[in-house]
Amino acid sequence: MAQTSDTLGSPPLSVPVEHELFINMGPQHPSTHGVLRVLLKVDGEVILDAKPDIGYLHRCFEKIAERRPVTQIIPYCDRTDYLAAITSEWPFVMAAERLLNVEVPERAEYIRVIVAELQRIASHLLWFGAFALDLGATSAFLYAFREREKLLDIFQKLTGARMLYNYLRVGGVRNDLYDGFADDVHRFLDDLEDKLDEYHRLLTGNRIFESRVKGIGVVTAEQAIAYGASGPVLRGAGVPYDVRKAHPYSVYDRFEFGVPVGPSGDVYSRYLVRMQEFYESMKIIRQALDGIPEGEFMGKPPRRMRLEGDTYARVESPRGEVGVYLVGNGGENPWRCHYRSPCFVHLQLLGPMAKGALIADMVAIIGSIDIVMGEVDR
Amino acid sequence: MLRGLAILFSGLRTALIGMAVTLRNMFRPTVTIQYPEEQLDVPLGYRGLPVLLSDEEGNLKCVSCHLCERACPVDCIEIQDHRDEQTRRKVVDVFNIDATWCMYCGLCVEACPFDALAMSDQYELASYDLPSLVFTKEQLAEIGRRAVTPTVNIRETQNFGIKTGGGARRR
Amino acid sequence: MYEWLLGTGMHPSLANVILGLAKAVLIITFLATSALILILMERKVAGRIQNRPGPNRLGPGGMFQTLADAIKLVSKEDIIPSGADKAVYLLAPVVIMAASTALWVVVPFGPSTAVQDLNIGLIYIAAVTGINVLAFLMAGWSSNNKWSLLGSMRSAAQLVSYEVALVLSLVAIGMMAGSLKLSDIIAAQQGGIQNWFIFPQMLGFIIFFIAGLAEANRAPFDLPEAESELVAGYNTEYSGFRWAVFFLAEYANLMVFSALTATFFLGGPAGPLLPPIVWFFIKTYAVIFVAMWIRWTLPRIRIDHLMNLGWYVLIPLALINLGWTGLYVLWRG
Repeated sequence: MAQTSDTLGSPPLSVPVEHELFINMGPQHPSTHGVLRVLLKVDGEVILDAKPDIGYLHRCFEKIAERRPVTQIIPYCDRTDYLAAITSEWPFVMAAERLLNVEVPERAEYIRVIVAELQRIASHLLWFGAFALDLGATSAFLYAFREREKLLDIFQKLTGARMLYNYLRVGGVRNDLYDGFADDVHRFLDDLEDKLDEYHRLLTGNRIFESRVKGIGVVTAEQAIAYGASGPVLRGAGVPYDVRKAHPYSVYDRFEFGVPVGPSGDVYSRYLVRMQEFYESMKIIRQALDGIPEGEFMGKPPRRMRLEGDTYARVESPRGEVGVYLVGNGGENPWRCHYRSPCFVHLQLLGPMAKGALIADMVAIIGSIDIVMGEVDR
Repeated sequence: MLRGLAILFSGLRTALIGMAVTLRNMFRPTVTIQYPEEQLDVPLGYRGLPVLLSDEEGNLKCVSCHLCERACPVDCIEIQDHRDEQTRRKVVDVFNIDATWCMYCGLCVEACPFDALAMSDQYELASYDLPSLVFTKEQLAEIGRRAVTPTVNIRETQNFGIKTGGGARRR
Repeated sequence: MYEWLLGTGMHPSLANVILGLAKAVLIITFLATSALILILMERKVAGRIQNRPGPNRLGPGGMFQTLADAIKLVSKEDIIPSGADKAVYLLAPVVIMAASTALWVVVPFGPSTAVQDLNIGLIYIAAVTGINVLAFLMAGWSSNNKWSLLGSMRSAAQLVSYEVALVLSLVAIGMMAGSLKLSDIIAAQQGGIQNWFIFPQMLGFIIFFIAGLAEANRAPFDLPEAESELVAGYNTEYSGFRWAVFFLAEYANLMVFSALTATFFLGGPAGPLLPPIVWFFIKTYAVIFVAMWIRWTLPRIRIDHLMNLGWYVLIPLALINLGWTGLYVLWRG
């Protein structure tokens, strides 16, 4: 077998010997969650090495951000991690607020927290469905989407859009909560608790499922920290690091919630961490809805947003720590806006995770990282 | 051997528990609708295609200040105008929105100080013909005139849009 | 029928040949229509499980959906990959269709109505299920595609492993009935539900059902065609009508294993009030429904766990079942 030549100068996978096979899980593949290409070197069914190849969804977000004023960049932020749009906008808006010294009113902070946690639930629902689908349990996918539909309807009533909201603004949010929002959300959360029960019965306890995910794709805590992992990947390995607790932002320090930590660093642990995060998010939302104060939903941002200085703002997205490093040089457009994507970092872990696993496990591993290529490639 | 039996029976037991879940779902009502014969009602404020609003006499409210053009993140709005000699007011000649570029973010509507733009509930914009996806002033005004909701001052509520009364299909 | 042909003065051998060919045509037609019905049933069952209606546009209840799909598939361009081993590539669908059809020779539609009620019915079944392996290997190898190759290797391993367990449970059935003839097996289960073999053979039933699902490549054993992993496994390079043949063969396989489950464990085509053939269909479709229900619920089993299950769990259990059956038959007298 010839050496692979399509690795653009980076060191190729070592030359395979006779009984080894090069398989390309190409950019178009039913379960790579977007346009991810993974080069696999396999011996029969056992993976010897895995190398991700990205860039198929690159849309020059960071370059575009250099040519647009802050309000116009926010819709672009949505489209990086499009499954968790609120937490994609939030670090950018936070960074801009820091540079412009804009204070966000309390009600707006509460609204942001509620919407972000709802977004976390929506993103995890989709992750659950896609993960189950990859493993073969097709019906779980449709059940998850049935729940997600209700959530998207709530978002639609609130912001006007179902997935790419353009809702967070410098200084607050775009509009106030509509009448009946709290009732809708409470009804949804109560229903979700029953449905989560069903998901656990359908998938979590299933012997076949357990045999597919236990002991697969193990990441030790040291490895996770060394590679810069965050979110469920890091917590699944046993490290209790959550940006909401370690560097509290907004009003998260007022809420009681736990940080689920996985027993071992395998796919099953990450699965359990995300399933538990549903419940934690529900706790936060309920507390926030109870305690939300009256007030303004928008602060007083300056008319002309001249950015000066630099700052790094971070937020806990469903996938990990999302950060925005914003540099201003006095103009209305940022001088540089770098978007730290958690999935980009987690892709590095594909190699260590996949060594020794079977091809069928590759799918489970990629699913457990919860990759959104929009965020990886920007 | 006993382990094998244990595996088999735990597998069967958990499989049956899962099957009970799917069986129960078989008897739940469907959550889908027969699209396109039935359509879901989008709520007020839904961000569909931005359209031009007219006043009671049927004239466009737009005074061609170009603020929406500048506010658009993707530059999908193209405006050309000329100044009328008699009335000394600007007249809009061309107001094109390229629906293939539009992000449906609503920033243009928020920027307009004259409430001349609104997000409609038009989301069925698919077409076989690419040039037809550039909506002209006449097309946008026509959709705007079909508004069945009273348009609200954007400063009173940030989340306003119009509904065109029945079927987003007609565009 | 035979007598009528003889009455026209035909030579008996010729009459036999004509009769045989007529039965073959009948079975193939039956298979094609059954596949049509089964595919629709699968999609409707999947839809209902997933809170949606399933196909409901073409015809009342979506009746003509499969017909429309078949017409679409037939009208597609015939693509043969350039590096494919042509002869093998073209023969693979033929072989799999032949394998699936051949199993139907002994399936009893009535107490003694099969295409050919062979004396060695059980052995015939055990033998013919092996041809499936050949067809999958041919398909995967000739496609000149790594994914297809992987799929067919997995498939071959799976089919061969579960065949052993399948055949061992068949032996137990043979012992219970005292004969290899399927009509004898049905006769031994006459006289009411208490005589059905499922009760003394509960373990055998579970083994046969699981092995049957594995032989038919149905979830949770559908690794060879796991859509989310191998695109379509051995099917990847087949499009249009050739793919339709594979699809048809899969449903024919499913139906035959369900029919055999019904025959061996649920009393076969027999029951009160209704004519036997109606009972045949009721029981077969009941088993098919359970198979579909399982498919849309359970995740896929990984290849090594599948092999473990086949060799370490099912075969020892099948041997235990044989021992138990032996004791039971001796005690029964």
